Amino acid sequence: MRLFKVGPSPFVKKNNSVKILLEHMILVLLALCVVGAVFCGYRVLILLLISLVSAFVFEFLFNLVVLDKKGLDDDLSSIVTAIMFTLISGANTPLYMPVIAMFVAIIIVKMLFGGFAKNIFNPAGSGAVVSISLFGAVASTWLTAGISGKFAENPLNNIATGNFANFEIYDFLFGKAGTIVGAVCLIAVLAGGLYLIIMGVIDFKIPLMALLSFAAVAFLLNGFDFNIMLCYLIGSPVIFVSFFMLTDYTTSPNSFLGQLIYCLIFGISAYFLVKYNVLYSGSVLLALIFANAFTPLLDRVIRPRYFGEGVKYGQ
Amino acid sequence: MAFANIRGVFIRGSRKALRNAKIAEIKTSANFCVPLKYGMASESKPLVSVGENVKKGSVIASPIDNSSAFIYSPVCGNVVAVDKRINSNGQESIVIEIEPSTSKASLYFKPIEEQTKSNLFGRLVECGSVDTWGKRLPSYKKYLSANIRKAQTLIVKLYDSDGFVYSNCFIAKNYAKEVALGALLYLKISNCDEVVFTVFDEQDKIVSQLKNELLNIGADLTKIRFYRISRKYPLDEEHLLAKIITRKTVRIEHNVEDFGVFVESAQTCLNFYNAVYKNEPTISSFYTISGNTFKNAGVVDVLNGTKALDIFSEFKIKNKEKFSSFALGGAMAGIAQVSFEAELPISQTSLVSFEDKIYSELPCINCGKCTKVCPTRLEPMALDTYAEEKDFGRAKKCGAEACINCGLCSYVCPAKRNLAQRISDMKDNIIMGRTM
Ligand code: SF4
Ligand code: SF4
Repeated sequence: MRLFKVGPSPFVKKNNSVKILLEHMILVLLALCVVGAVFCGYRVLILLLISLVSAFVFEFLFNLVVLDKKGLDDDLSSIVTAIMFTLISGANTPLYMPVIAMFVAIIIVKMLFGGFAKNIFNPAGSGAVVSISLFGAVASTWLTAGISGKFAENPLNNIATGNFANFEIYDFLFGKAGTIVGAVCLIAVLAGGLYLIIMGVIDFKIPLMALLSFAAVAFLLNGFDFNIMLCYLIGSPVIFVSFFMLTDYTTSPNSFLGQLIYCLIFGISAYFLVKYNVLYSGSVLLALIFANAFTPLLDRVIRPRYFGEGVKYGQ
Repeated sequence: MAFANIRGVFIRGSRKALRNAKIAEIKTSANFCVPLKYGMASESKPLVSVGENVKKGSVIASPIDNSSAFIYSPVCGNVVAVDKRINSNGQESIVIEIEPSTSKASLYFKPIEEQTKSNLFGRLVECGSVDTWGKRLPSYKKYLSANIRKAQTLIVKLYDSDGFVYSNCFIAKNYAKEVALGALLYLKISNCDEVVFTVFDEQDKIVSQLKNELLNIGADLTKIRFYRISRKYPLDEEHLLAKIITRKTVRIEHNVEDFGVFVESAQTCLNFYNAVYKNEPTISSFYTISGNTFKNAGVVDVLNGTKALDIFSEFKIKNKEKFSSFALGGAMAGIAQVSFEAELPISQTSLVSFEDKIYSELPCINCGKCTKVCPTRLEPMALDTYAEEKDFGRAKKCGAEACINCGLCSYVCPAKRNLAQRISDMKDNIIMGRTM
């Protein structure tokens, strides 16, 4: 007789898995890479390749040397990290930069914190922040920038210097802007975000709250000027970051109140970091990492009130 | 605040097939094995010995305390064994094995002369009706005198625990008059102010049918309410029902009856009706047979102690290769069985079987989906960590005892973690630690 295979209830499970979620994410990110390559040239694909290879190599080496096991982890997270790094760097980023960034992202931020889903900071974001801060002022030239004096050609510098003239939203829709690879086409970013929301991968609340708080601060502190607010919102990579990086499960709080505070921290700090152009395209990422740092605290302090909590006997 | 009715997931299951289910007849060939203990109830005392002849409906076990019930023989036959075995709930229990004979003789109660409260209560104790959810205690336990003083609301569930179970709904649809009369009987013995019929599946049909029947009986309609529930949970959902319907928060460690809320189901109403109007003891319960390994789904009136193999001879398995196991008690919170010899007691209402699917657990990715879905607002992933660290103190502080074992957290978890299982084990540990 065939033996019964017995598992714990529930016997039906929802048709999702970590793999499916990450696959949706990778699909969207790769599509954005292709869009980036179309507008910024083939160099994007070389950056992507180097990031992917170095991510795999570092993961392999760490597993071999520290964890004493052969092969790569079978989760897809390092692929996400590598693609993500490509998307948040400028198209002219030097080709050795992904190696440095992946070292920081995979080894320091991810593996040393205990591996997949144990990290506190966003790996790709921290990698980019470290690599940009290492090279200071040079980093601004990594973004594709022109000289014709349009706002879109060097939006981050223009924001910092208060030069909001010649702002045309059209430039940001079709890759005429000097910004990170992932954000060259606003339509693609929004479409990707929408896809992830519809597929249930990300929660629409986090990007919504983050963008609202960022926009609100920009609106209030610039004399209620709608145009300047739009320059801030679209000129900096904040939309890309709030859709694809802020929503990361591991590094964002779970409770609604926690998410609200997290988004406020992100929105407000991102505004000031962008305004004073602290790290060029890394300013928003720095705000992201700053907000990430609060997540463990927020998750610990803000807990849902469970059924019957505080009720002595019955009420 | 709308509380629990916004949480949870809606599991479709095989509702379409079940909606048109006809009651199936099963031929029983194997011996009947009646367990004397099931769930939280205590073990009844056997009154028969090996070799004795029993009739359908003759008493074979009697209660020893307030949480055990009278048990009646489901068939005519000979007692072939009275011994300790493991019942289909995984507990050790005395099981009475009866070999059925061809005789059709039956032994039922004498009619009740006058429907006074004490007579009715006596009949409820006598009839052996058992709750089919949660703790699976005998139905009369709730109405023991001490609790009745504050009686307020009687809730009658006309729906089932998940999308793969349809028994209560089936009974409400096909035995509307019996359910209405049974509910009124419970109302009489509990002194409640109102009856709330909660409906989920096929709401309109059930509500209109039941209203008609209640009008025909001449019931006081001001005392009767219908409530369309938006989510259903398996197992200990009385507390959530009490919160949704009466706005009373009763901690999970306490019984809702102590706060004036009584929960019955279509099945227990039917049992009481049969005991009072037809003088029949409770010897059977309606089982839903469903799940994707079966060719067809259906509802069966199963006699107490029928073996599962009799069900499988009527309901065929689609693909033998893919069959892995079956479970009693629904898809979400059921108990997996290890052999076709498992007996079906009256305190369960479903036998479900699903195709073999292997899930491997991954580490938690902190996605928060489990927290969002938990009907009692726990944090399953935190409790899961405490369970693995055996840190029961902290788990208790985080409300581990409030878990109703509904399984929704395991259902949604993308890392396929067996959260519900570990949390409920831990909960049992905590409760045991307290009572010892
Ligand atoms: S923790 Fe308990 S009550 Fe909450 S979803 Fe999981 S099984 Fe259900
Ligand atoms: S649903 Fe699973 S993966 Fe997500 S937080 Fe809960 S336990 Fe972790």
